[in-house]
Amino acid sequence: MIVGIDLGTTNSLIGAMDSGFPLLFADESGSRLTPSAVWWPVGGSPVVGREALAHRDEVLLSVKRLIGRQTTVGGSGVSPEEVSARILEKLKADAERSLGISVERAVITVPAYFNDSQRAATKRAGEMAGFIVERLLAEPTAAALAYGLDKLGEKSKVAVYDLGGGTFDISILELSGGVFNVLSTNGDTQLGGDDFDAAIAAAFDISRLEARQLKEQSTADHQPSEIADVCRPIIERTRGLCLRSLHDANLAVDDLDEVILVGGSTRMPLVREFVRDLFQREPNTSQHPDEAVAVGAVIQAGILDGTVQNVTLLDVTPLSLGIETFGGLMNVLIPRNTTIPCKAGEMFTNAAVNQTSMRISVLQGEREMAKDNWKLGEFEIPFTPAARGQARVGVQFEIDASGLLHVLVRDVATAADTKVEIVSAVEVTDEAVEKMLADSLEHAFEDMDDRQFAEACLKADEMLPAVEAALAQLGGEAAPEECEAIAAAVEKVRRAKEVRSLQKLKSALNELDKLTEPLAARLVEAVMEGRL
Amino acid sequence: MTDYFAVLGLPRRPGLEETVLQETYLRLAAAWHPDAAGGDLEKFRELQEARQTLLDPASRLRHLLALEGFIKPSDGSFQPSAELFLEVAGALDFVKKVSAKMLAAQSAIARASLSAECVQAGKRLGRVAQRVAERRADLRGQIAAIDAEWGKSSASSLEKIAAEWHFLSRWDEEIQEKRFLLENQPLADLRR
Repeated sequence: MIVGIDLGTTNSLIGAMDSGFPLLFADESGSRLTPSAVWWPVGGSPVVGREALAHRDEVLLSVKRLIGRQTTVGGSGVSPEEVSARILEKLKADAERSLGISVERAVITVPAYFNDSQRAATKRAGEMAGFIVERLLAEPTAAALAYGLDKLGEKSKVAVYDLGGGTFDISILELSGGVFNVLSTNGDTQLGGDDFDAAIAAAFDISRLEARQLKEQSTADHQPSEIADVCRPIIERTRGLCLRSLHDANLAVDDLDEVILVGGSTRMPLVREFVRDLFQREPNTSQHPDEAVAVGAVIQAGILDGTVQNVTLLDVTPLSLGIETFGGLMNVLIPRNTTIPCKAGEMFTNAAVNQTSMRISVLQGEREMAKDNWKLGEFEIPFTPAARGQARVGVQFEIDASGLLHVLVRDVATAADTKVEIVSAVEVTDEAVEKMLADSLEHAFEDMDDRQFAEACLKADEMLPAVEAALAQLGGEAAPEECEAIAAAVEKVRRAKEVRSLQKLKSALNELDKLTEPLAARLVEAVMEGRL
Repeated sequence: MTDYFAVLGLPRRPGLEETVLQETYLRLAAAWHPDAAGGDLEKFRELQEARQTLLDPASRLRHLLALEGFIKPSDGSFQPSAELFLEVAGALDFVKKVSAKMLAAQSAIARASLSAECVQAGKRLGRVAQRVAERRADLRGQIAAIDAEWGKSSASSLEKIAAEWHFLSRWDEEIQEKRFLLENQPLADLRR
C-alpha cells in the first residue's frame, strides 16, 4: 500500500486507493484538511494542525516557502524540513488510524516549479517522518490526473492553472489514451494566497489573519474594488508565466480544450475573471480546489503499486539544468520541459599535467549568466595523473521520475562509475548569510546619496524629452487640465535638478511618472492602431 | 549505431508525419515508462532520443543518411542564402537594439516613446518569420518529392536539405523567442 500526500503551504491532505477509487482520510475531528501549522514549544513536543493554530503568535506557518531555500524557520532554530516532517508524521498517524494498518510508502506532491534543492528537501522531510518516498509528483500534473481519470479514452489538450496558498504553477498537458503527457510547465514558488493576505494587510493596516478573513468573505459574491485593486497586480504576475508555458508547448490559446482551476486561491472571483480573460473561455472548476492535488497523488500511488492500470504519466523537468563554463556562462545540458526520467552526458579532460581534480558548479534556471541562475551545488571530478588532455572523465547527469538530480562520474580509462554527492549551496550558515547582507548594506550606504541623485538625473533626462514629444504628438487629445498638471510637474523636475535635491527630484519624478501614465498608454494605443 | 526508425517501428524514409510520430511515441512511452508493468528505463530513454532525433527534419535526414551508409560531407560545406541570412540577421539586430533601449527605460512615458520602434521591430520579425516559413515549406516539398521516389532516387540532395533546415531551425527559434518577448512584455503592460 502506498499513500498519496499533498503537502501544501496552507493545508495538507493524505489518502490511498480504496476498491479502485481514490479516498482521502479525515483527521480525528473529521476534516480532510490538516492545517500546515506547527507549534513547537522550546523543550516540548510539537503540536500539529488545527490545535497549533491556537498559538497565534508562535505558530510556524507556510514553511513550504522556505524549504530547500533556508536552513532555519525564523528564529526557531528548526529547519523547514523538520517542521514539514512533523506535519507528515501527523498525516501518517491519521492514515494509519483510518486504515488500521501501518503505512510506510508515500507519493508526495511538490510545486511543479520546485528546483532540485526544494525537491530534495521535501524528500528528506518525508524520510524524517518515517516514509519511504516513492515519488515526488508535480502538483498541477497530479490535478490533471484527478481531472482525467474518468476520461481515459479521450484525446485533449488542457492547461492546469494552480494558484495555492504559497505557490503558483501552470502546466500544459496532452491527454491521449491514458497517457498524461506534460508539454510544458512554468511557475513561481513564491506567489500565492499568502501574498494577497500580506498586500491586503499592508494596504488596510490590519493583521494578516484579518486580511485573510476579508479576502475570503469577499469571495462569496463580488470583490469590493479596494481589495481587487490590491490583489490584481499579484494575479497579473501569472500572465507572463502562462504565456511562456503556451509558447513552450508551441500552442495558442485556441488549441486548448480546457483550462482547469485548482488551488485555494482560484476561488477568488478576480482570479477566475483573469483566467477567463487570458484564456478566452470559461475556466473548468470541476475539480475541488483543495483536494484535486491530493487525489492525483493517490492515483499516482495507485499507478506505482499496481492498483491503477492503463495510466501513464510523462512529466517534465521544469528548469534547464547546466554547468558553469568559461566566462561565467551557463552551459545547458538538459533543457527545461524535457520528459523525465532523462539523462545527459558531458566529457571533461584535465587542463594541466597531473591535475588531480576539477570543480564543477551545477545550475538550474533559464538565464544566460551562471550567477543569475540557482546554484544547486558543486562537485569534484577526480583525475588520474596524466599528461595534459589525457585524463578523461565522463559525467552523467540523470534526472529521475521525481525530478531529482543524480550525478555519476565515469573514469574513461578504468570504466568505473562513481556516484558523486553534490554539496548543496543552501547549506551555508545563517551567520554567513547575515554577514553577506551586512557587508552589502554597509557598502551601499557609503555612496548611496550621490549615486541615487545621478540615477534620478538620468531618469529625468530620459523622461523630459519623452514627455515633450508625446505632448507634441497627442497634446491635442489631452484635456487642458491634464496638460497643465504635466507642465507643472515637468517644471518641478527641472527645479529639483537645479537645486540638486535628491528628495525633491525623486518626488517630482514620481509625480510626473504617475501623471504621464495615461498619456503613455494612449501613445502606445495610437501607435498600435497605426494612427501615428 | 541505433536505428531510431526501428525503435519507433517506423519505415526508414525521409518523410514523416509529425502526428504519426507523436502517436507512436505516446503508445510506446506508455509501454516502456519505468512505472508501467514491464517498463524498461533504458528503452524509455532510447525512445526519447529516437523521438528527438526524428522530430526535427535536419537530424532525421542526417540519421537516415548515416544509416544508409552515406559519407558525411565536411562541416561548413553549406552556405545559406546570403540574402535571407542578411535579412534575418538585420531584423534580429534591430530588435536587440530596441529591446536594450526598452530595458534601460525607467518610466512609462519613455517606454511608450519607443512604441513606434517596437511596432517596426515586430513587423520586421513577422516578415522574416514568414520568409523562413516559406523556405521551410519549400524544403518540406522537396523532402516529400524525394520520399515519393525513395529507393530509386539518389539521396545526395538530402544532406543539403538537412544542412539548410538546420540553419532555418536555429533562426526560427531565435525569431520566435524575440517575437514572444516583444509581444508579451513592456508595451502590453503599458496598454493594460
